Amino acid sequence: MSTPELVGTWIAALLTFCALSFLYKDNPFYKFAEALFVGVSAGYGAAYVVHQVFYQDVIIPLSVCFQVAGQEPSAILQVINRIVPCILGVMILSRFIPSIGWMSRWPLAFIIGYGTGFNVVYIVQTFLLPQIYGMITPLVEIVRPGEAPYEGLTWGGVMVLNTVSNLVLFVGVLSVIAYFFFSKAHTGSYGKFTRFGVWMLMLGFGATYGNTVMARMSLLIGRIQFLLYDWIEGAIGLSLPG
Amino acid sequence: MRFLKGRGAYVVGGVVVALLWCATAALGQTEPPAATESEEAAEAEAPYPQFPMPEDPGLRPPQDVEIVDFPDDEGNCLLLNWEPSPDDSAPARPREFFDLKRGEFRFMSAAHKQQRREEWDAAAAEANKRERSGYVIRRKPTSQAEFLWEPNGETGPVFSPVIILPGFRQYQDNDFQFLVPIGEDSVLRGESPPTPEELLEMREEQSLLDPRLTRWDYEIRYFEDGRMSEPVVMANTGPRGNYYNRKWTNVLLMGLVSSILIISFIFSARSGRELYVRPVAGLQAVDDAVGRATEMGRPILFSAGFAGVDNISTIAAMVILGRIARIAAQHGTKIIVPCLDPVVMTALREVVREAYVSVGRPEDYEEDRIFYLTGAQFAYAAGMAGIMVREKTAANFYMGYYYAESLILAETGFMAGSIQIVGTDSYTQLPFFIVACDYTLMGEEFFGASAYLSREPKLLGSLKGQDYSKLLIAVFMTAAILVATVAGLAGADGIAEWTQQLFQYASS
Repeated sequence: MSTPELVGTWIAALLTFCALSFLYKDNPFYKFAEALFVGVSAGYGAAYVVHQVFYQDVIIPLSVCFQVAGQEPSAILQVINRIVPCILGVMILSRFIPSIGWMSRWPLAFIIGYGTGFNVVYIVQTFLLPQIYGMITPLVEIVRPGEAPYEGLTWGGVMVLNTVSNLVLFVGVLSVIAYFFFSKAHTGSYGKFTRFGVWMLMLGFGATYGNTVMARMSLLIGRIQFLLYDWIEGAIGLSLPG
Repeated sequence: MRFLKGRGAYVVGGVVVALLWCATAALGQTEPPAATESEEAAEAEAPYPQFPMPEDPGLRPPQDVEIVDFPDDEGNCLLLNWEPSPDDSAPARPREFFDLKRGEFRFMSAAHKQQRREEWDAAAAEANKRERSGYVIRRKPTSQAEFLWEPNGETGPVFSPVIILPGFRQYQDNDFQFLVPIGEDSVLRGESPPTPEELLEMREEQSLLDPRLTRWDYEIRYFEDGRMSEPVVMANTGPRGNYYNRKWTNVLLMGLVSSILIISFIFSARSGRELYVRPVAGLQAVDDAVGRATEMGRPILFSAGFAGVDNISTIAAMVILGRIARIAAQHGTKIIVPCLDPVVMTALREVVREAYVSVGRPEDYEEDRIFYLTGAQFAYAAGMAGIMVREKTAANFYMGYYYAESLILAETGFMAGSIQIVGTDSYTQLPFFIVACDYTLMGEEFFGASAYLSREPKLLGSLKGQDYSKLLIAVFMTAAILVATVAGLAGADGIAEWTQQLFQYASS
């Protein structure tokens, strides 16, 4: 392990312990790690924006556009595409001058208006239609002659498990939609139906919870592996069993 | 050792057990098995034709070659259609993307498509393996003198020949963005892999490309056993953009119906008609939480999530912040709003400032309380955790879209003793918020919160319109499922597929 790597590993290991110390309570070590993390990430973010966005998406394309303006018909269009967002960005900075601070609202209005309009189509396309599309399957599935043999449980030619699954899905989706219907009070039999919807939601959330917790455990294992192999074995030089 | 008493003992014990368990798991993990030698050898021996091959006049080229613009796109794709060469022994594969004779997209269910694809791929692979045959397609800008087998970038843009398996009758060419030259020195160099500088150069050149302004020539040949047919050349063609995407007609209809419903209910609300909205527990707790913070003399913490200002969740969060800020301004309660995005911060400052102005207390507004913390996800979570424990916030509001940091925020707030109210449509994070927070507004409840809190006719009408849109969707969906069920029992698969096609989306 080279000297820079050694120093880097030690710093990473110590900062890991500083961050984990928050599990006990707030302390100066955690405050130091937090301030360092926040400061470095903010600085890195600023540098990233300058280099990856401003330099690569504005400076270089504009310089190329001006070079080939006479030969490439689309260059002028590209210049407009780059300049207009720049003007909107500069308008946000007008907040620093109170007399023209009102100009900062225009780009905000543009972004929010664009985002709202764009998302209407995006959400319908990405979330709504695929779910409806996936829902439209026959409630009762039957074994048909000529098709591949079905190995699951059947009753009178009906695929029992598939049919039960489809029915649960259908009733579950309707009850959840009913729960999110705000124009009717959740009382009486309708209230019980929406209660079933809440149970369906909680079942789904429970599965998601368990799945995600295991993913977080893998992150923790990754950190422990770093401490064991990179720090204890690599940097300190102790050998571990296994 | 005082910290080992009381809560400290549980924490330390838990951490030790977790670390031991993770250490055991980490030590127990093994490397994945390496690929066997036979697998590597089989991969290396896979047939791959070498070009150019000698032309054989006895081999017949593909028939009826034509080039058409890909429908319903922005103008960056062309379709090459042909009838197989009479020498092609593989079964002819139907065109997948667009049926010229029917003038429409072929519709198949996803399972049907997958099954047919597997059959065709197996047949084509078998024919290719037997005869090492297929079609080879080359392309060049019309301005370029001749087609190249190994373009080096000096005489034209890089475009490697495309090899198509036998039996195919269509090629979808959507690779234009890598090809168009700009000026004399804009041609991409042929060496691979490109250097970082070349990648940067490629990226900037691509940003200037407009394939609709460039004309293209294509040639296609049939090849078999190291020989190839004469070419069929299609000259001076190019893609064009379409203003209307027919595949999105259902989106247009749904948008129109929803819009009409929403506008109708807004007019209805403005005319003074009382619109009922059922109470939601989390919303009623908002006022209580602010009141609690006022009584305790502690600040309120508000987070607008991790999405940009153009995200629907962030916009909904802004509306709720306006309500909270108004109550806080009336009571003189301090409100802290750390932001992840500078543009969101600017918008939130406007929202809070207007709230203070609206209750007649503009002098109490402190801009520095709405500040940029950092743009990094977990650094933001660490900073928020620090603020919670040091400022001892009485009420925490997490409104907007969240990712993996949700449990860090919610658990820290819980340990700090804050009352916590969440509103998010991030369904993967909702479970964590539900277990760690006092009230959770799930999905639609979050979006409906702004209307419920403000009681403004515009927002109430919007909420009611969305409600009835949901009702319509539920009715249509139920009807479609029942039709599919009856059709499935009767063996009428065509009707079932047609019903599903009504809700077909772009990538289905």
